[in-house]
Amino acid sequence: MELDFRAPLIRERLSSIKLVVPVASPKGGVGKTTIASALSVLLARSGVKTGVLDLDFTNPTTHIMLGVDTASAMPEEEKGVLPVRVEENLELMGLAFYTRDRPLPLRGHSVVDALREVLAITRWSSTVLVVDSPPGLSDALLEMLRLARGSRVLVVSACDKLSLVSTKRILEFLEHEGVAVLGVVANMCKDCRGLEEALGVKPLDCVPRFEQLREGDRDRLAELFSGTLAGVLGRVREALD
Amino acid sequence: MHEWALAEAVARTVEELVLSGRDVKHVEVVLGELQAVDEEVFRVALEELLSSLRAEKGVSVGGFTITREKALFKCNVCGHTWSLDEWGVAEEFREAIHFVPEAVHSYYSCPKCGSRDFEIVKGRGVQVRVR
Ligand SMILES: [Zn+2]
Repeated sequence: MELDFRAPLIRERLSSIKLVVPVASPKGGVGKTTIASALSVLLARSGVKTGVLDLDFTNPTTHIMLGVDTASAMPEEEKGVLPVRVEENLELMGLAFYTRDRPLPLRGHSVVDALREVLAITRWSSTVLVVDSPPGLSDALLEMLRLARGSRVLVVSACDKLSLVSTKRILEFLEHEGVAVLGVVANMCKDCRGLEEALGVKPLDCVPRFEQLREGDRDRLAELFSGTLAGVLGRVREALD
Repeated sequence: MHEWALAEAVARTVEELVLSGRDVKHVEVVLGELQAVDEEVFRVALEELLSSLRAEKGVSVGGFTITREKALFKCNVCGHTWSLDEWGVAEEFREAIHFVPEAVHSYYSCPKCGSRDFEIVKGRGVQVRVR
């Protein structure tokens, strides 16, 4: 009998984390990485020990948004590896540290292998794990949901018609699979009425398009989003109680 | 160290199997060439973990062996197959591949056609077989 020896270790590594929040989006370009990064910085700065996993293996960008230089930072080896400390209460792990921003073409089963490997080696010290997922119902997201049962997915959607149709599909899938949804965030949005109508849910937060956003500037990120992600932060706190 | 984490994963797997009522006579650990696991460090870690499993939880297994498997790759574009020697992995990339073998796709490509769309057929990382 051949076994996937990583499964028990993954369970143990994730057991100290109280809440896993995969941030998912129906399609690319809706600002999922921005929302995931802003959420993690705000959580960390409000005193919650927060980990960020960049699950977009073939196109990781979370480190850029969080201002982490993969040329100089590297997860430290200690009976596994420790995620890179971004600031107090905020740690980051992802394949960008290993690929050094080179392209990483992976087919489905390799994505799953890489995810299992990363989860088996990473020793988080966080209470909340924010997972920046690739767009859509990807292999990586499906595997993450399988490995971290009890996850609460935050869905990021734009308000145009194409996004809404895709968002509806994601919500239907999650409901069918019995996966809890933390809520929906409307991003780069002027008016959420269309979203409410199309999805039948009120978004947790309606985030406008911020032209002043600069990648890597966490202070600016925290400042811009401090007033706009209140609904999501409230839900995370509720889930932690 | 990483070898320790891998040994821990193997020990936990064995523990779960035994606790679920299975009689584990023998554990075969296959170390894939690509991940370049230090066999001695791994062996010492696994011995230590298995003996503390015995002492603390009364979980014991018949024995374990470590075997090695050469890495083999296959190109999805031209069909060429090759071994690790054809690349001669540079020291600077070894660590990345040691932690996540898939990182090899970022650094190397098919020696024949140059495509990065290839498969790791054999010898990727650690595998565990029990009898
Ligand atoms: Zn080829």
